[in-house]
Amino acid sequence: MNLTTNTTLFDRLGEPARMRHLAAYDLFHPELRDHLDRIATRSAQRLQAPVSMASILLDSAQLIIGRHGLPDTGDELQGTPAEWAMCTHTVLAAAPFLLTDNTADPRHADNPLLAVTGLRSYAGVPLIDGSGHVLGAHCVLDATPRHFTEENIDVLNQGAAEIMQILDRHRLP
Amino acid sequence: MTTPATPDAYGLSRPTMADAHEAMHRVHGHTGRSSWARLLAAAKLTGTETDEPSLLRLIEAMTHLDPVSRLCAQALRIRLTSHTHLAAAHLATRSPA
Repeated sequence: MNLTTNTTLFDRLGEPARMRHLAAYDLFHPELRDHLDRIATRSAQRLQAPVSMASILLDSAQLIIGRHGLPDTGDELQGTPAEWAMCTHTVLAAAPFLLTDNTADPRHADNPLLAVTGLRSYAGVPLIDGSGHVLGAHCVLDATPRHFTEENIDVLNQGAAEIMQILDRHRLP
Repeated sequence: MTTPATPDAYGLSRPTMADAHEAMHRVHGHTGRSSWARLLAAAKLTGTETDEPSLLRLIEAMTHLDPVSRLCAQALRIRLTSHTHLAAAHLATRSPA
């Protein structure tokens, strides 16, 4: 998938109706993060992956709301530019997105985020709310090339379902 | 006051007041113009400033404007922080040993 220009990408992610759906959740509640960290840890362990995340795609950035294997930078670094986030592909596709080895895929070989972290493979599934809006993604990343299986995707889908249940409990009044 | 242009880090530009203006119009759709005007009033800015302290003041006001603007502010904050981290990493890799 080609993300074309940043403006086009940000317009798709920042569509007003989608942003209003995102704004209906209390994404900054500390208890939410604790719950989602646990799900990320479990998915990482079940898939034997060093990194797992639950994240929301804002208009121009990925906001990480649950994490395992990433440095805890507190309030300082809570996400990444949307054009570099692998989860952007999952959100735009509204379907599982897999990357076996970024160094062998010209679409992702120059991704600065993968270059800086040394991560090479990715599997993500979308987080979809009851009205069909794709809010974000649940994913794992690995430092080695990896073929993800249907069973792996099932594990991520189970995690995504739980993440959506928890998000629903954190809707703003 | 104008802040000198900051170099791109791995192709990532540092967010500016113009980016904030564009983002507010994007996420608010047909109410973008009035939302921007409310934001400038809340931040006590004209919208013509180009310095980073003004941008940071704008983002802080954005955080308290309404829930959608808060998310927009968070996205800009992430891009600012990412640029700071990557610019530092970029400089470190280019510095002579």
